Amino acid sequence: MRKPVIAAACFLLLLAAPVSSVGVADPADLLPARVDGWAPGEADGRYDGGTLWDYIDGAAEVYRAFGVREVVARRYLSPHGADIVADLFDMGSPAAAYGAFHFDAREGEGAGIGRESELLGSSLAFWKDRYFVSVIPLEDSAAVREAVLAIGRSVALAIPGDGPPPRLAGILPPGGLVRGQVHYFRGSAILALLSPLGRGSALALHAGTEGILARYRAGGPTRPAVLLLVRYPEAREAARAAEALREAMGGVDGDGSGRAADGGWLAVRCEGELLLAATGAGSREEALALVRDAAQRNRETGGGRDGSLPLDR
Amino acid sequence: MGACRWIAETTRREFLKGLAGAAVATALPVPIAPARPASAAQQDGVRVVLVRDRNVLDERGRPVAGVLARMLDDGVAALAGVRDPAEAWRGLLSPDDTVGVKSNAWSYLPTPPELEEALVRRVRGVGIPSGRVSVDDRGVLGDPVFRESTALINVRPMRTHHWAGVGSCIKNYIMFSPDPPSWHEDSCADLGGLWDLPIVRGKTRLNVLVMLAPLFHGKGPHHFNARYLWRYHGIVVGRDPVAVDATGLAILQEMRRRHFGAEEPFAVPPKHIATAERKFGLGVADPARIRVEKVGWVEGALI
Repeated sequence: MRKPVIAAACFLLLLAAPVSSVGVADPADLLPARVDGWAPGEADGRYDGGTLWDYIDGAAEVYRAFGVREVVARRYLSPHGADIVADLFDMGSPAAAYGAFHFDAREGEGAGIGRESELLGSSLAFWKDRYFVSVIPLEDSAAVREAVLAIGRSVALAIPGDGPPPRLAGILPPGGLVRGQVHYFRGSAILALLSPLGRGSALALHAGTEGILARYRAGGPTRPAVLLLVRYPEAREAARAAEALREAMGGVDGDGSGRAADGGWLAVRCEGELLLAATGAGSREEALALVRDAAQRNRETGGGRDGSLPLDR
Repeated sequence: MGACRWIAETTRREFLKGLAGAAVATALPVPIAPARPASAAQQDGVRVVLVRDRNVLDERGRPVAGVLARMLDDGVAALAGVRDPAEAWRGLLSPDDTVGVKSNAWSYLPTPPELEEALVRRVRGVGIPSGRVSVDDRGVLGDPVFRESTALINVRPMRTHHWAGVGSCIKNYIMFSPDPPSWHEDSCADLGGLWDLPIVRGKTRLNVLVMLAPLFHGKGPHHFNARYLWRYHGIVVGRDPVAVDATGLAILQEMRRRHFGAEEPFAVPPKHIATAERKFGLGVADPARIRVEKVGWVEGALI
């Protein structure tokens, strides 16, 4: 009797485990003990979703919305340089780690660390597998930057897995995509922070929805266009949301496009469980092309289920 | 005041130019709230003092204690319109006061301890014993000096902020609330209401907005990147927290304009400053009614 119970429990655990991600016994082991004269000056801070407010002033809600499991915060000190704060976020899945990294616009240079990285001044951020990593020095200098990069490389090397980006990212049309402004979200909290599109009730986002908001150079002369993709658990939810969005935007023509009050062109359509909306486009054709191309890629990739972006920034 | 120091008034045109840019860039929405009747100060206008000294930071950007203390003295004296800082402090506090110095402990850009120490020295100089002055941030509600305080001094660095647009003197009182997250809604627009809490109301004698190296832009979990620290070498001193913050906001916006080469809206509009005047009558946010008195180094003042 016991064996079937154990087998069932193991099966359930496998189902619950994030796809293509590798956990480690203690995430703190991923952080180096010492780098270039910098060494931990105090005991690590350890936080979970319930205590992250104690550590992060303001932005904790972002990581909580992605389901952060644990954060290890280590402060490195050196007698000759500024303190460096390394935060390792175990986000629970590669998609959530991708989302944590991409919450901010990423317009700095890549550092070739992890799946995607950004080095801005002497501050480094990257994601790899289920981990999002932020390494921030309190001062900006060449020596500090080298230490920051050494910490980042050490952590990336210690993370055993790689992990794919969320499948939705794979169906974004590449032409005109502003790669630094691709934002993945789950539920409603993140999109509300990123865009007015998330501040109304039309999209009816909930814990079972995921989406991606990306900016494109196809916009008007002073701003980029926005492509929003939202995947709902059921097609009828997507259809309802598309209808509500069309109404909220003042209605559209028969081809699903229209002109918003601010002068930008928009288009809304539905493909099964996927809602596709373009706003702020410079013309009707641009708006329609954005949603048409994304819908096409969605079909080509089997509903975005095997897509991936080349992430060698 | 030393011979090398001078006082100049920012022209209204310069200041309006700065604030108008800030208003456009942040697209401050007009809050829908009943306006309070304007106080005499709101009608007549207010004065804040901007003190800058190019020697207040060392080569690594760390505050130089003696210079910073002198800047504080210069600012408080100028604000009071007297030459002697001790006399100015006697106008702010009495020996009977119990004084809470509301600081800010954010680890990436805290209130400089050197400034906290200078403030406490001046408070003690009025004749207030050490047991009736306390410096605190997150523990103010449990601090007996703050609970029994008759006077508050508000001191914090200016920075951009993930929820509120900017971390300001107005926002610095959020730790007087037993439920700080309850003030986060709508970009923390109603932070001016904090100043009506019983532990706060009517007690603030001085606001010091630290702008030695303000954070003019941020990103990431902590909204901090040393690249976005602007070595400005200044402090803004005033009785009116709204006017102090509005002045700091104008400076921060000009930093953003110069760094990014164009108007760069804050990720979150810092609407709580204008709302503090319009809805709560806390002070003056309208640049046309704020007179900025400059003391010390004027090059690169940005307003």
